[in-house]
Amino acid sequence: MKRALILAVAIAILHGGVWNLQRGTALAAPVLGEVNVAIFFEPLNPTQTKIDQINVDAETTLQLGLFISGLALTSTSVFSFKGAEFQAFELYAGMVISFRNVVIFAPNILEVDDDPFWTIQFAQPDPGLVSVPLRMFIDELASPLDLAKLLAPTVDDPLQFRKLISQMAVNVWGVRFSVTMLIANFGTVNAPDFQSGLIFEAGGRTLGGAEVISQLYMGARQGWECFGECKALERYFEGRVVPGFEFQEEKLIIRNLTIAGVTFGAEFAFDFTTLELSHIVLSVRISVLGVIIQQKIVLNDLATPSFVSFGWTVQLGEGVFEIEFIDPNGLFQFPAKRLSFFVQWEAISFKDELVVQDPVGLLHTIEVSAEFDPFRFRSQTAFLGGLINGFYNQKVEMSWGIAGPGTWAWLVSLEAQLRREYLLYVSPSISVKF
Amino acid sequence: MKRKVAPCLLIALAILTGCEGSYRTHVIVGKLELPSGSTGIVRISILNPPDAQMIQVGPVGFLTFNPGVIQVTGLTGVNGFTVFGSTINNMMGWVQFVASFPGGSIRPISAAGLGILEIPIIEMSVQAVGPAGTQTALTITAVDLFTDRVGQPIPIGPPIAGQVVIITP
Repeated sequence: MKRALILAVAIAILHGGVWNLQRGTALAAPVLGEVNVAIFFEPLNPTQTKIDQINVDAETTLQLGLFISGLALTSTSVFSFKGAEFQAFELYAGMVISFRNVVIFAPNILEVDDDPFWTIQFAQPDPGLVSVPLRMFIDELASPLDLAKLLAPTVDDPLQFRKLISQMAVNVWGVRFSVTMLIANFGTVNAPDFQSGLIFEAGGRTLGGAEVISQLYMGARQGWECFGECKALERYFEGRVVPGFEFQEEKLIIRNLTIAGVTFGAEFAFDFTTLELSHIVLSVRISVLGVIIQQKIVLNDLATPSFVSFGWTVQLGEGVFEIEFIDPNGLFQFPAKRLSFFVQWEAISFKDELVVQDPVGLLHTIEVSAEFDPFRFRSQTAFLGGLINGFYNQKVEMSWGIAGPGTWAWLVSLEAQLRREYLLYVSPSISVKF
Repeated sequence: MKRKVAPCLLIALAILTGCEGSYRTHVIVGKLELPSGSTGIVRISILNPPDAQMIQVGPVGFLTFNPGVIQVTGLTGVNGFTVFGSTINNMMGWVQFVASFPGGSIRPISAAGLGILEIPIIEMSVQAVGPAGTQTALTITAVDLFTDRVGQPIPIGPPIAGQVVIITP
């Protein structure tokens, strides 16, 4: 029944209305929109070769926008075989003072840390998701079906209010002041649990281009939240709400401060719960004879580095070389190195990247992309543990776009991923914009 | 001139990347300096994990240590892994365990500007019982079972031993 409903909705969407994909483009028509239908096929027993059963995941995304002089109202809906998984309404009004309000309805909520693993800190419902590294399910080598399977047990409930993001910003003499109010529902359908947070921000840019931003977090911390299946449209990066409306963090961010040709950046975070500096990021960038040298140090406090990287970027002809020495533990021993080479010849680009980690870690990726309108092609090949040795993953993306009539546009895409000796998934999709 | 440089570099890189490597998946036991009498965490990680889902050390393999230097107080799974069973023998100085990632698996994380090849899967809590200056190796003698997301065995190199050194508080 649900599948029939989703199909009917998809057909209705494909044949009705006047929409446009690009919210930022010329607003000839006040109502704009985009619909995307993607289907994912995964062999059930990938080790079998000839006859097999398959897992199927279908996802329909509908975006609608209404634009009336200075006021923008957008709606984002996501449907799957389980029914509606995500609904967000966003209102933006920009005059002297700008307002942005986002109301999110979803069966679930995930609070994610902004560490390199994107560790899940809280989930409701939680079938054992806390401490799971979400990035493992979202990065280049991930299968979308892995993410769907991970979060499937959390989208059984009906849609309910999950989050309100309310922002107000004003520019006064070049300084931008903003207040962000966050209200999150950490509870269940029968027992809602509302928690709130506030983020105050003040920032501006000097004539020299340096940018200084100050942020105060109350009832919220750095991080992000996502809903439904945590796809890109379902992620919100304003911060994550934490229970108890208390002072949590103060951040000072300095970007693009250039002194005598050296560009500095710094980020300081003071944790009110422990009364100490919890996170310091210092970066330096200098350009000498066509070579860009950059260094980044992350410290847990004034004396304890937790991450250090040191890199050079060199452009020779059309090629760009990058070498980066990384110590994820901040001990200045640099057990990890990243070497990459990138070159572009008109519509074709090539990238070769090695990530090496002591004593014998190695990930080698080769990426080729080409764009000949209306066709686009991208291939990424990954080898694990060897140089063109130890084939691990092959990802291919192809798309074909059709423009017109009028502002109509269609995009048909095919994506597939091979993992070692078996097919990981195949996904055809279609987008309609107008 | 410039147009010739890039193809030459490309060829040089192709030659470089054409060299065969000898890298494999490894289980790595971490190193730790621990003040006498205190407690700490030793991480057990997988390097080059090709969708690793389940690991078992025992009944043949052991993670051995000197019980006169440290005592193991517990094992906890991290990054999606759960320790489903473990035996800790602080008299003889060994640990056996089985851990897996229900509904998932681990592999290197590859994102823009980010490459993480070593993923911790277990945190082993230890207590320093030896005097300052003593140390113990943490050696996995054999990995009995190590499988990927589809249940296939993962070829694995020799486990890389760790160490705990007791220092003055």
